[in-house]
Amino acid sequence: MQADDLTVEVAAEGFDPAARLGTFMRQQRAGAVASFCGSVRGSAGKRTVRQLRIDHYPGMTEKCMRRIAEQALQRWQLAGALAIHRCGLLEAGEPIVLVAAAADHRKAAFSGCQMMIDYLKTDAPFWKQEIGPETKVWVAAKQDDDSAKLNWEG
Amino acid sequence: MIEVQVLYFASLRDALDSEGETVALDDGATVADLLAKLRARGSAFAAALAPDKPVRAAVDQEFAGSEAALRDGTEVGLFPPVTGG
Repeated sequence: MQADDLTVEVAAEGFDPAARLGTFMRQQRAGAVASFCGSVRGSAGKRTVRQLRIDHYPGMTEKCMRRIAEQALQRWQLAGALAIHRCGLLEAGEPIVLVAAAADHRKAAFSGCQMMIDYLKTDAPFWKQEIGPETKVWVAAKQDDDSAKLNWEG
Repeated sequence: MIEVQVLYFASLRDALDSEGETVALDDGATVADLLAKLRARGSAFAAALAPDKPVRAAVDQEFAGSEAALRDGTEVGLFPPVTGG
């Protein structure tokens, strides 16, 4: 879904973060753009991770991502926000999520970007399962992620 | 009597071997009442939805607590704590 200043997407297929970020930057007139990209790690502790399964709640996921981007836009007076998150089956190394924030100055861009990824970890209905040669393990939610979100609400 | 559309996600979907179902409840039922009714089935439902398990809910696609009220036709998502991002 896209408004002039906001692009939010749940991607069932692989996306190219460099290309998407490039497009976002060309669309923005603001002077500062900050971004974060998270990819599938090849291991979790001693466990090998070959693939990542990402489930989500169709309908609710898009609404939540849009709400998160709108919160960041308002809070940091962003000129634009981008949030793309995969669902489905991913290989080790594949990009999972890209968020980017455009603003007049870097402080707002950095803060808006970080706020969006922190909120994506607690407020968007995605669930990850790490698949290895002999194991399938659902990732457990982390206390650190809740704390990271709370930091924005102080 | 009301009927709600329950959807299961992630590890809960695997544990219950179900994507979702329609559940009949009394008028005025809450998410807590729904969970109690599902637990009463025993076996996988009692285990996966036990009070000490971190089950979360969404009512009509908004995160909700156990006290949230349900109406006829409400969509209720049940799932573990989210792990996106």
